[in-house]
Amino acid sequence: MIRNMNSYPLYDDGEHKVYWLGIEESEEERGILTNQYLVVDGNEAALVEPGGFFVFSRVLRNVSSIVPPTQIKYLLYSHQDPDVVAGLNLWFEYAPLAKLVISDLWVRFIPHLAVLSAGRTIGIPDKGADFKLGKSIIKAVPSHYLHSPGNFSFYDEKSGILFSSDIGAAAFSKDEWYLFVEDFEDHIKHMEGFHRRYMSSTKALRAWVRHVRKLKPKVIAPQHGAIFRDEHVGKFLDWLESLEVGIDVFEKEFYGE
Amino acid sequence: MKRKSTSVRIEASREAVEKVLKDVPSFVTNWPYVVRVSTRNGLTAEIMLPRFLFKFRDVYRFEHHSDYSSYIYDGRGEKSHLTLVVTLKQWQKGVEAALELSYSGRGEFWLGKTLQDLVEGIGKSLRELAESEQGATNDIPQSSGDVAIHVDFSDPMSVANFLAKSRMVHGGLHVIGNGGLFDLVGELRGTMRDRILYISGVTSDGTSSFKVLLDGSRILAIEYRGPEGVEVIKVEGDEDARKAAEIAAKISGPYMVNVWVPIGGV
Repeated sequence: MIRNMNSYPLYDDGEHKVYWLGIEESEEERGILTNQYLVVDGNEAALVEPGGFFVFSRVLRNVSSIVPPTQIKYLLYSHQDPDVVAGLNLWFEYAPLAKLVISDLWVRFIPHLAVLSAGRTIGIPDKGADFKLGKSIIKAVPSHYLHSPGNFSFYDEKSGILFSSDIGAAAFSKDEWYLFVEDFEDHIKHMEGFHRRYMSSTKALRAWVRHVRKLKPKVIAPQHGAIFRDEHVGKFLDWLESLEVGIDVFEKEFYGE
Repeated sequence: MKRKSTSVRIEASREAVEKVLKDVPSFVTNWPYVVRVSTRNGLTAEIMLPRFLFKFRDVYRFEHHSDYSSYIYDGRGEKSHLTLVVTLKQWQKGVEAALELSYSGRGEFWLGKTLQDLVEGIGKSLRELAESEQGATNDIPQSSGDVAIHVDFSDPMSVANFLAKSRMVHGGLHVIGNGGLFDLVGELRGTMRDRILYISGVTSDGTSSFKVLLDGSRILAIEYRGPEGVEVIKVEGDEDARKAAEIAAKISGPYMVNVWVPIGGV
């Protein structure tokens, strides 16, 4: 079982900091480990993809070693999958001043997580929005149908890190784990199956790539798998642009001729 | 060669500590600055040691040896050589682990502070992994009512276990008068039939907050964070109950208050 309890700094200019917050795998996750990230600017913080119940202890401990959880201004949720939102009621209590940020599409589902979220939930409109954190801006970038119909990536302008939700997700084999992609060609085999099946639409994927190229991210940090930086950012976007996914691949398999 | 050392007290059995030390890939994955681990052809780990703006990166092939009380992790990289020796001493209620890290090769004259951080980080990881191993052994599924009894605000997972089996039934701004926390509880009880209530509050600037778990009018646990620090009581006797009441009396002012009640299940 892969488990790393430590955080790792991805960016630090003194005022603005970004951390990866460790990983651990449940028996059922079969190599698809969830990444959580913390962005800090001055006295304000944003927790990106806070995660489910069983990662809560590690994520809380790592966050608390960096900032008091009362300084968390935003809990940023890319979509509604359980491995992203299942710990929401815990963070609701442990980050009591934080606003929950999620696609407008999913706002009405939040009460099913047993919290009274009115006044603490920000629904992101389909076109996206900007969120001010300290003196910096985090952009919610539309990523709809990749794979959720209401899906956002989050772009931290100051660090140039794009938190890409499930786009870029990789499933590791039992005998290997790495934080940064070093051999892109080798890494493809960990991503390909996931993207073909989970991503809904080739058209949506190509639209996302076009939009992301304009942002010129320095780093792409997915919710699962390894982080892309340097020349691997471009290689990853090129690979995505050439990929056929979702219903475009599986229509015949699912429904026949 | 640079040598750095530290020691940690671990509140876990020797068996739990040894289980962590013997699972070498998992243990090494949890060292600070480790960014890649592979067990395909023996254990290799890539470690990026930061110093100022530089990162000293090497891929180490690890060998592991052990005797009755020592565990040795010998990592040979392309540009450097790193060895960790962990020596265990058993105490009545736990284990003390002495860690010594030696490093030779690229950047050794620059890396003194980083290596000290590394060995201390390894010690911290060992303690946390062993204590969570011990905790996992002790975990027994409990009903939501039982979970409430075990809530201790100094242990976030005990609170998480409670919240995972609870629902939020009220949220709103309340002004608590001097010594008036129980006036608020009385007001809330007017609309709620649940015996067990978890009430939390935070001021708008986050400088003060509280959490209190009640069974009827009895405080089971309380936490208060104020400008002067944190006070936490898990009530297990009369003296704790008196201290909990004293803490409750300090809570006053405008707070955003949330109330949770258990919803049953295991």
